[in-house]
Amino acid sequence: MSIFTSSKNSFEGQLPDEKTILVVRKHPVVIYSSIFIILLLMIIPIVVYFLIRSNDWYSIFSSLYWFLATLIFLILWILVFYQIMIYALTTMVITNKRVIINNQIGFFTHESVETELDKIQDISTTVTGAGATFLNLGDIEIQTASAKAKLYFNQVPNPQEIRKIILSLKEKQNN
Amino acid sequence: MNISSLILIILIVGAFLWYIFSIVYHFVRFGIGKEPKIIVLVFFIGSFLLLATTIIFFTQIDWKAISEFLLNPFQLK
Repeated sequence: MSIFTSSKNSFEGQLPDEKTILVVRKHPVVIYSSIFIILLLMIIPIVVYFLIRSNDWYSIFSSLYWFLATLIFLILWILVFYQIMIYALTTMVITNKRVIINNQIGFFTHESVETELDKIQDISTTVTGAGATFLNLGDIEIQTASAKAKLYFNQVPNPQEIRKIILSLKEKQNN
Repeated sequence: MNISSLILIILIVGAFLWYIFSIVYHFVRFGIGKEPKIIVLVFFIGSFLLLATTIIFFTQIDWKAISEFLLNPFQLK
């Protein structure tokens, strides 16, 4: 839960006297499940190798096999880091002035919504299902007075704690 | 190697380089904190090594032997 500590994280578009209080990413289980599937695919070339190596024609095709195997590994390597990129750049940044939700959808496609702390009217959290309760992951919905009335951030770890942090910052700013 | 296969290889390598560049660019420009920069370094080194290995294996393929075998698969000694 190291993300629940104050950080000196800087980000693009940060205001001069703005301090990052918290950077929240989706629960790690989200990225682990995607990576696990890709790692399973990495087993395929290894299985194929053990199936074909005893054939007479393997010596002719061995160089082609190794080329295709490394090509598959390269594609999967890029896929793993693509998933990590989407995970790492989909963030909720809580600063002493505002809450920013960055949603990385793909290469060069991202959505960013923000609200100032004093415009937040209500924050609700939802934890659905046994798995989510066990892992303590849920969704956060921020009701605001801005044009974009609601901000969502899904599958976050410890949503109640994040809610408390935002509300305490809002209270601190009001006083 | 004829010119059309060379162009095909350049296009494929170019596509891979584009993907690698895009991932590095996103991590470096939009990443918050130190971790994304460390991750991108691991990714860059791994990508370079894998791409170089793939190219080396490609150059070692004996296309003549493969085509001869495929044209007459029952002549294997």
